[in-house]
Amino acid sequence: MISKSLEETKKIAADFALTLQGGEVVALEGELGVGKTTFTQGLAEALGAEGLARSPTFTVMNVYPAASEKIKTIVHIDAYRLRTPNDLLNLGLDEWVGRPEAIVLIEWPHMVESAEIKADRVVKITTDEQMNERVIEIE
Amino acid sequence: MKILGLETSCDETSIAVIETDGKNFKVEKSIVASQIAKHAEYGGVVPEVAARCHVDVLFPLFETIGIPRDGKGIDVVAVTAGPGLVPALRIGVEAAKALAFAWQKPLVGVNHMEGHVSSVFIEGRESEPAFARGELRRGEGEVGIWPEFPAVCLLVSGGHTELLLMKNFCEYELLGRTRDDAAGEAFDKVGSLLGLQYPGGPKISEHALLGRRDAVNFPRPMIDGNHDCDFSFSGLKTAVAVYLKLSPTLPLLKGGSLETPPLQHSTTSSLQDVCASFEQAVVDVLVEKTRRAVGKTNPKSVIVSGGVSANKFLRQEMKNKLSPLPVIFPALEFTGDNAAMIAAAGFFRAERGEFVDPLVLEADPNLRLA
Repeated sequence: MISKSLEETKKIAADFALTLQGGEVVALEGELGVGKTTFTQGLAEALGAEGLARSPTFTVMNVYPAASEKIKTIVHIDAYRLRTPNDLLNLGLDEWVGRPEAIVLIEWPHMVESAEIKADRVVKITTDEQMNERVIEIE
Repeated sequence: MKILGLETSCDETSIAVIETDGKNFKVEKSIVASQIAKHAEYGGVVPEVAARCHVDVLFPLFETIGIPRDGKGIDVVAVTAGPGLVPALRIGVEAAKALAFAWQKPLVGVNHMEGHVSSVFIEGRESEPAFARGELRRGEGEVGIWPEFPAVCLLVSGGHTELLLMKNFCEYELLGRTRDDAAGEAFDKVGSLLGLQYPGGPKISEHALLGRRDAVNFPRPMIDGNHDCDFSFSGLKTAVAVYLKLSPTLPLLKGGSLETPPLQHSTTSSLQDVCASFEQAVVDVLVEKTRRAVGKTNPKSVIVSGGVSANKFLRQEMKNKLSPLPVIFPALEFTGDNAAMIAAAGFFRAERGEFVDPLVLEADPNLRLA
């Protein structure tokens, strides 16, 4: 899927959100500035989250109450500043991973495999030199 | 009143003891884990610190700065209850609860953001070897400057960028906040794009001194045609990323060391120019939004705190552009996350009798001041 704007990225994310059943771990890949957090904002909004999803780069983990039929909590993690799999596990993820009414979104998911957390869905966002368009692939 | 402060809301582990009469806030003890490597006398006592190693580090810190094991002399225990990262917050909160319970002293759960606001009330310490004399005074060289209320507060760090109206102690109204990235995060990420070693922010400022602030016209997000006090920095970060991709003469994103960048042709921007222009863009936004907040609320002073408030260029621009309104900054030592500011904030709440039962206090990652 192609996105040419923040709004289009959010729309793609909103459509994706509706395919979630609850309990999934979603890996969100892409370099700086492609729109991982923008995607998350679209997804969170579609799930009726309170407030705006903001970048968790420094907070590491943000938790948003949601209000959709299947999903009541969105856990938004940014592994950008994490260095070891333990850094990820020490966030208390076992409280959230697989919980039926929650989803866990991980930006910069390089830690996920080594931490033995399985990503159920993978969103890959790529862009061109000028960063005019984004290509969003979802598995 | 003597207050013990604990701070473990995210990366930092810090403990402090403040003695105050309500007007003067003197730091009796203060230790911040990330600074330990710089103090030779602590070497070997405290384990080597990695970010967020609160569990390993907290009690050694108590020993290192000599907190009496029976809590003798301490009147109040103050701990960051939120906002922050839950597993990190809990370490400090549970330790504080246990101490308050065992020592039978009153406990205050402090909002980390109120800690940053309160950091401006703390006197800098001349004995602190890392900082030059004259940079330690409260109010950045203006001894005795006390913020008059109402005050507009700009809290700007890696994790937060917010504008608040402080009507009085403990009375706040939210004026605006970032819709995506915090300003400190923008510095850090652009630093990463430029291949600068972490932490990128201070390095950008250093390089900026040698660059032209008008070399590249980066966007000032949410400035044009917009009257609100919210912020957005992710577009600026992306603009720098695009600029670097399209500038073949600049080092690539995953290049080698850029500590001594090659000289550039005069019509092409250098690393220093990019740093200077980027810093100018961020500072312009912070200044302009603060000006808007001032225009809406007519305060008597402005407080700027949080990690990014250590930025000298920001300090200079804020003072110049908001003049004659007094702009008050914390001593450099207290701009980052630290427990001294938590103890100070704890005082203001303790004064109002806002204590919490140690058996009941819980960490709250989403704690809001306003």
